[in-house]
Amino acid sequence: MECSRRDFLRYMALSAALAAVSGAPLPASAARQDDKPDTWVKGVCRYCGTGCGVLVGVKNGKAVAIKGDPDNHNKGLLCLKGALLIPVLNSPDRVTSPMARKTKGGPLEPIGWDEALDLLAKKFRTAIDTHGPKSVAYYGSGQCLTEESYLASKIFKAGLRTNNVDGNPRLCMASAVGGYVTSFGKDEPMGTYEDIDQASCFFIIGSNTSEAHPVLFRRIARRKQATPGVKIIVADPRRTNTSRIADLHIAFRPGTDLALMNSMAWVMIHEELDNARFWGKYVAFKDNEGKDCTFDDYKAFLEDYRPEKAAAICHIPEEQIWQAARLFAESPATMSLWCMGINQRVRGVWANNLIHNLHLISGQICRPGATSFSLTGQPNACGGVRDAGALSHLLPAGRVIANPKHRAEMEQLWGLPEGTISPDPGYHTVALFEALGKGDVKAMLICETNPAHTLPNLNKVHKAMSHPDSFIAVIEAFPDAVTLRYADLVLAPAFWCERDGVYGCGERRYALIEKAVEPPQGCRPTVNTLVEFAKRVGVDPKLVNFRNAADVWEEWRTVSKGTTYNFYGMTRERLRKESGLIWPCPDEKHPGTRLRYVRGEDPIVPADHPDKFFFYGRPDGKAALWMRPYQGAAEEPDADYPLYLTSMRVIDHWHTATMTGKVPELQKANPSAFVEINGDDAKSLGIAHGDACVVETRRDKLTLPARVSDVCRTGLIAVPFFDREKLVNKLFLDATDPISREPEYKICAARIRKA
Amino acid sequence: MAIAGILVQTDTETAEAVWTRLSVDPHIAEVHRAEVPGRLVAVLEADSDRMEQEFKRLAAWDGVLSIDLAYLTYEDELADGGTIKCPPWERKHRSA
Repeated sequence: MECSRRDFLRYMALSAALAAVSGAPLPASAARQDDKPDTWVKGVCRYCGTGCGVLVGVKNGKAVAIKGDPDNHNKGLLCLKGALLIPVLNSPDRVTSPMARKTKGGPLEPIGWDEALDLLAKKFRTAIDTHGPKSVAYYGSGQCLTEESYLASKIFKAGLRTNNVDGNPRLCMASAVGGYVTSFGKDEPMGTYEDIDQASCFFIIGSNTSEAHPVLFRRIARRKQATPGVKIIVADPRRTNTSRIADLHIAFRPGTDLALMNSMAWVMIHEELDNARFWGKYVAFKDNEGKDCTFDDYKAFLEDYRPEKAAAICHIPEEQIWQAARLFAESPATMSLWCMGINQRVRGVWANNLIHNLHLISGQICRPGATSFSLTGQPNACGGVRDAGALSHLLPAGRVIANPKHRAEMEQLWGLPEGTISPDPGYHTVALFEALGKGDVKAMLICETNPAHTLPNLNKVHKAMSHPDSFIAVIEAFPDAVTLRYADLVLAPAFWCERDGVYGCGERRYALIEKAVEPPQGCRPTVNTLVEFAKRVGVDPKLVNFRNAADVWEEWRTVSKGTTYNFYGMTRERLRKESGLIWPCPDEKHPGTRLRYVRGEDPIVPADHPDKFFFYGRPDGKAALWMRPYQGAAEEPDADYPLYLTSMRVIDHWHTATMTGKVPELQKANPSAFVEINGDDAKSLGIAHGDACVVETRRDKLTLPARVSDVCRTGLIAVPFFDREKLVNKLFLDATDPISREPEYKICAARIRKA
Repeated sequence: MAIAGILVQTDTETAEAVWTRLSVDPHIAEVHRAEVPGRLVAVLEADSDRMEQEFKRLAAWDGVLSIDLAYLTYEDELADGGTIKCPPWERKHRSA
C-alpha cells in the first residue's frame, strides 16, 4: 500500500486516539509502513506526578512527535502540556556549557567541564576541611531521575558524611509523607489510579485536579459520565474548574478544613455510618500526643466539631457537612484525592491524618475504589526523593537517619565502616537556606530545581543566596531559571529523554524513560557529573563505581530487597518492556501490587496472616486514627491585612515555567501573573477586571492585574506562581509544619488596593 | 499544518449529530465512531497557532462534553518553516 508521509501521520493520529478509547495497542500495520520509518521511544511525561506514559517519535536523531503510551495508565491520553513537550526538548534556549563567575556578582562565563568539576570539588573540599561536613549541602528535586537522587544522597550522606540533603518535595509532599507514615506506618498511597474506575464517590479536597492533574481529572469525569450515581464532593475555598463537575462544592474558609473533616466524622458516628467491624479490628485510636485511646475518647473529642459548631468555624451551611459525610460513608466505594491545599499548611500532616481518619472510621479503605490517595506534584517526588531517601531525615527505602538500626543497615549495604552515617538529621529546606544565609552552609549543589523562584519568603532567600562567602553550584538545563542569578557555577545537564532513567509517579509506578535523542553538545547526564564530582572531592571511589544510570539502578533495586518498598523484580530489561510496574514487586515474575496492606494482594503481607488487612509499618499492625484538633493558619487576616492570600496553579504552566514558557501556545494562553479576586470584594474596593492592583503582605508587595470572577470566595485572593517577572513567593511566609517542615504556601494575610 | 488525533466525548443522545457535524468540518480530516457510545475519534488539522482555537471551537459545540488530545505532530511545520507559529494572544475572561 502506498501512502504519503502526511497520510501516514494522519493514520498515526487516528490510531492513537482509537487506542486511547479502546485501550487496544496500535495496529501492527502501522509498524510495517516502509515509508520513512519513525522510531518511537518509550518514556514518561516530564511534568506532573500523574506520570503519563509517552512515546517520543524520533526521525534522523531528532524528536519530532509525541503521543501518549496506550499501554500505560493514561491509555494514550496526554494533557496539552505533555503533548507540547517536543518544542521544549528542541528549544535552543538551553545551558550547553558549564559556566562560572570569576568574581562574586560578575557575569557567568563559559568554562570547560574539567575546570568546572575541579572548581566544584575544590570548593566543597575546602568547606569540609575548614568547617566540617555540615558546611556543605545538596538541594535536589522531584524532577531528577531516581538514579540521580539516590546517587546524590549516597555521595553526600555516605561519602561526604553530611545529612544536609533535602529537596523540593519538602515544599510539596512532605506533609503527605508525614500523614501516611503517622497513619499507616509507611509512606505512599495504598491504592492506584485504577481505583478511580471503581470509586462511586470522590472526595476531592485541596486540589484543583482539572488544572494540576488534567489527565486524572478526565478519568474522574469519565467515571462520572459513564456510571450513574457517582458523586463528587469538592472541598476548596475556590470554585475552580474542578468544582464545576461536583455534586457538592464546599467553599470553606481557608484553613478550616480540619474542622470540616472532624465534623464529617462526627456525623458518620452520630448516624451510625461508621464501620465498627473495621475500626474495631484494624484501627488504633490515638490522642494528639500519640497516647492510646478508645473509640469513646474519639467520640468525646468530636463533640467540639458538631456540625453547627464546625459550620460556624468554616463559614459554610451546616447542611453541607451532613451531606458530605453521608455521601462519603454511604457510597459503595469512596476515594479521596488531595494535593497542595492540604499539604502546604502549618498543620498539613494533621490535615492528611484527618482525611485518613474518614476512611478508617467508615471502612472506606483497602478495597478497589475505596482509598485515600494523595496526588503528587512532581514527576519523581515519590520514586526519586521519598522512596530513595533523598531528604535530610531519610535513608533509602523508608529508613530514617534517627534509627541506629537503619543506619547500620545502610552502612552494611554500602560497605561503610560502622558509624559512618551521621546520626544527626540534616537541615530541612527552609532551615537549609537560613543556614546558607548565616554562613553555616558554605557550599551547596542545587540540582534541577529553582529555589530562588519557588521558596517562600523569597526576599530572605535571595539575601541568603547572596552571602559573600557562599558557593552555589547549580545543575540546570534552562538559562532563564531565576536561581542562576545566584549561581557561582552552572553545570549543563542532559534533559528529560536525552538520558535514560526511572521516574516513580504518584501511584507507586516506576517507569523507564529511555534515551530518545542525544543531548546538545556540551551537556552531560547528571549521573556522570555526580560520579566525577565525587571522585574529585575525595569520596571513596568504591562508593561511586557506576558507569551510568543503569548501574545505579542495579544497586538501588538491591537495596530495596527485604524492605516494604521491595522492587527487586524491576530489572532494567523488564522496565524496558513494560510501561511501568507498581511496587512492591519483589521478583521478576511478580506483576506488581495494586493494593497494599491486603492479604493476597500485597506480597509484604504474609500469605498466612490471620487478618485480611495488615498495616505492617506500625508496631501493632493497625492503622492509627489521630485526634487532631482544628488549628488555624500561622498568619490569619486581621485589621491591617484583612484578606486571605493563597497560591495556585494554572493549567497552561508547570511550576516556574522554565519549560512551559518555551511553548508559544502555552505562553500566549497565560503570559503573566495576575491576582484573582471575588466580584463582590472587587466591587467594594472599586477594582475592575484588568485594573493594576497592589497586593501586599507583611513581607512585600507586588502590582498585578486583577481577574475578577466568582472563583475565589469573598475574603480570599489568589495568585499563580509561574511568572519569573512577578515572584509572588515574596509575599508568602516561611512558617512550616512542625512535623513535616513543609511551608504554608496556601494561607497568609494580605491586602489589596487599586494601584 | 499540525496534525492532531483527538477523542471527542459526547452525550450518547447527541453523538450522531456531532459525528455528522465533524464529518463536514473543514479542519477534520476524518472521524470515526468508537465502540463506546458517546466517543468519537478524529484527525484534526490546523496550523499550530490555530490549534488551541480549534480545540476550544469544537469543545463549545452543543453535545460535546470534552475534547482530549491523544497525538500531536508538527513535523511538517518544523520541516517547512523551521519553527512553530505563535497563536495570537487573547485575554481570558471569566464572568464576575
